[in-house]
Amino acid sequence: MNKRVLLAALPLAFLIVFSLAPLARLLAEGRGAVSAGLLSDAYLQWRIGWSFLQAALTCLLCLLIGLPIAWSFARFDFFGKPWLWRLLMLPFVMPTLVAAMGVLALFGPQGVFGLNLQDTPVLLLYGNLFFNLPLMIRAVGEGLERLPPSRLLAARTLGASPWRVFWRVEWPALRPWAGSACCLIFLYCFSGFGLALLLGGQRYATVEVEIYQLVAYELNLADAGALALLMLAATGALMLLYAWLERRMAAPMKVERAVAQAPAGWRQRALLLASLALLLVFAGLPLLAVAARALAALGRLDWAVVWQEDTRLALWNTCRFTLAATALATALGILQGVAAKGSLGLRAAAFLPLLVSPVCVAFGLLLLYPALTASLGLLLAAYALLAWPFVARNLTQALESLPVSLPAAARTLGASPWRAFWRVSWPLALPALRRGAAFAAATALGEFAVTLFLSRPEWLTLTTLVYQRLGRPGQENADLAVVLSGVLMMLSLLAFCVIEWPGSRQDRRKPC
Amino acid sequence: MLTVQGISKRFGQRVVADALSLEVAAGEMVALLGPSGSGKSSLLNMIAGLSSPDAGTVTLNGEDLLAQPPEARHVAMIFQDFALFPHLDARDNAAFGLVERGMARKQARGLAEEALAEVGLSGQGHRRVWTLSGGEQQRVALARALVTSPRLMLLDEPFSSLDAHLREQMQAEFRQRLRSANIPALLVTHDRDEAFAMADKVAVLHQGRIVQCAAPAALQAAPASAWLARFIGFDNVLDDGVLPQEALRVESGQPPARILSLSRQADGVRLEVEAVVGRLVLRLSAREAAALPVPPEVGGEIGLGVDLARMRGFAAPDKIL
Repeated sequence: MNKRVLLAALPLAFLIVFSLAPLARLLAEGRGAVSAGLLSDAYLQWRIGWSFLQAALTCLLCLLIGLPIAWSFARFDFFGKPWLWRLLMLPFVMPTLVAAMGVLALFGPQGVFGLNLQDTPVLLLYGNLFFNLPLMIRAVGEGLERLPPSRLLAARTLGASPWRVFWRVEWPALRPWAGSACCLIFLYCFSGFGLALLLGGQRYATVEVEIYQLVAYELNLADAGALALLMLAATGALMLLYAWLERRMAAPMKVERAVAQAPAGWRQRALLLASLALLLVFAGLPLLAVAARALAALGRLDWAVVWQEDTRLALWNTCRFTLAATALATALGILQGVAAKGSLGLRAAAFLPLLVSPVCVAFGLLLLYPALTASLGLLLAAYALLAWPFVARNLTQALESLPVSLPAAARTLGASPWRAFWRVSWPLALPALRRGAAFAAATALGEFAVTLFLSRPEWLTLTTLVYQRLGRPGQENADLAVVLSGVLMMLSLLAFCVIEWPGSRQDRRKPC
Repeated sequence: MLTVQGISKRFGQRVVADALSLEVAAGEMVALLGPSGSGKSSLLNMIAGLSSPDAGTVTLNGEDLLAQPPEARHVAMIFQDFALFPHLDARDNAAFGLVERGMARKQARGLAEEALAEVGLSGQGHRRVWTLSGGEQQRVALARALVTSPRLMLLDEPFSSLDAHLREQMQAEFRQRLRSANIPALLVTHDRDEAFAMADKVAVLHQGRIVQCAAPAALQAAPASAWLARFIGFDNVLDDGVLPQEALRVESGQPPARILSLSRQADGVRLEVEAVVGRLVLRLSAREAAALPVPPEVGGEIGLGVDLARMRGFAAPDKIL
């Protein structure tokens, strides 16, 4: 117990200083300003209502589109399926900026299809789907795979058609999985910032964007604080709901995995084709669009324009910030991850930075440490804060899934507790650590919300440079923005490869 | 010699060891036999040092084990799931303990290769452990434990994940290796055939206590209690002893017994009959069944005499342990 406290002391202190304290400060700021007047403002009512509505709509769409795709993945065997399943992780590491550029390239003012959907809710919903549909597919797919095949066969022998089997056996078992995925999706969309800022336009932006604009352009801290307080209350309630659902979900046990079969008959083939087509439209097209646009723009641009001083500075900053933040996040994550093994409270603590909105944290940091706003350390700490949960969670999960007999065997063979950890647990957890660190790097690489709040001109990164150029008129700026988005995408792909690269055959388990 | 004295351990409400005592003499193999949940594995873990008892002492050759951490006890353990390290190949698994005892890696690997060769895995040292079959993994686990020359070997249901044929082969191999290395061993099992086949002495565990500890033959000659007699496989347990099958005489001149149920088995039939002394289970080999004047059937009768002189009384309390 004492060892655990010792290990967790540093990460927990970090969590308090850079996350809880700023949030508390924000609460104090907002408390005084919450008034009936603020909430009766029609403009803000619309903002809040729309934030809820777009999150709920995204959940619904993810469910409707994701269920058939997940079902096809679980039940059908087809060429390239393992690869596709892995590729589903790709959106998790993509920066919001890249996704937004992809959506704009498809349905923006100069969209590929000649269809301009800007200033409609479609853009934002499409962007939301890009990020969250894979989440739903993977959650439901996991649930489907854990259903013992004998149960499905039993239902068939009792006279149920495949559709009735789905409705009466599969869907009831999937509900907790779908429910918890919906919770997360709602949470992400509701407190989403980057996509809403870039795709929502004037009318369809979210509360988070409003907070940012109040702080950055109107310096109206009181109203911003009040809104942030509302956001925190709402996300807090959602988090409780999520935790409750997770607990209700049956403890994962080892079950016989369902065997997938090649689709038979035109109906099954049509279902599979439709699923893959939907997947391509919602998860593949935006990235393809960015790649195509970037290549085309590269052809038009002068090399001197691409390789100008701003680009070099942004690249250099992006690299060093990402490295520094990843190193810090990895160090904190290792301490936290080892300490949290078998402790529910510490595991939950590692979740916190994932769930609170970066905008609120950044705003709170500005309020709490005004003297530090010009210090690079604060920005890097904020990056690390957002990135370390990935390291900690992956490591804890890996350590907890180790059979207890392995360290026990090492002990009986003469290893001290430290040696048993060093020679057995640690090497076996390394692949998970590598994955976690790559996730952390991807997070720091594409971070957008905190960056907008805390960044300074000399700390130009790829994301801020793209955003800056998007806001300037002229084809050249637009071209440069899309080329740099392409670079960001490539860097994220690199992180993705590190995450998904199998270390050994043992390691070819499902990524968590 | 391993001496366990007055060990008690409870997990919440569940008592896994209740003032339990046990001895394993030099070179001896003792089987700890008990139904699942009787606390067998917990006892092994306490001897290995993986958990500590609430009360009691454990000494090995007069030395107090409880004061030492597991790595200092020089007690090897073989786990139910073998617990091979998946990130090391077979040879490095076998060399693990030697390296931990401070041997240079090169030398440790050489010895590990030799140990692997001894269990029939020569030249297999480079193989990743998950490419090995169940029996091969078992052998690597044995080599890994033996190569450190442990003072005591603890076996935690090591054969339960193997299929029947392989299990018998591995049991014979283990017994022979441990005997030739003269290492005392404590084998935990819930399989009475395994216990009787492998061990010099069988200790039967029930609700955290050892009900009886004796050589297999002695156990069968005089079981300590009705529960124990049933647990080690006696069908006919009466108030003051057990009736072995040889005490039942099937002859036409004997008083008739009514056949209540009949089940055919691979090597004969098993009958449940209502005899003069009460309900009995009667096992007939195929030959004995064929020799009956009338083929047995439910509701029919069979001449059955009981030779009470062959009844085995329960062991006197002072001869149980």
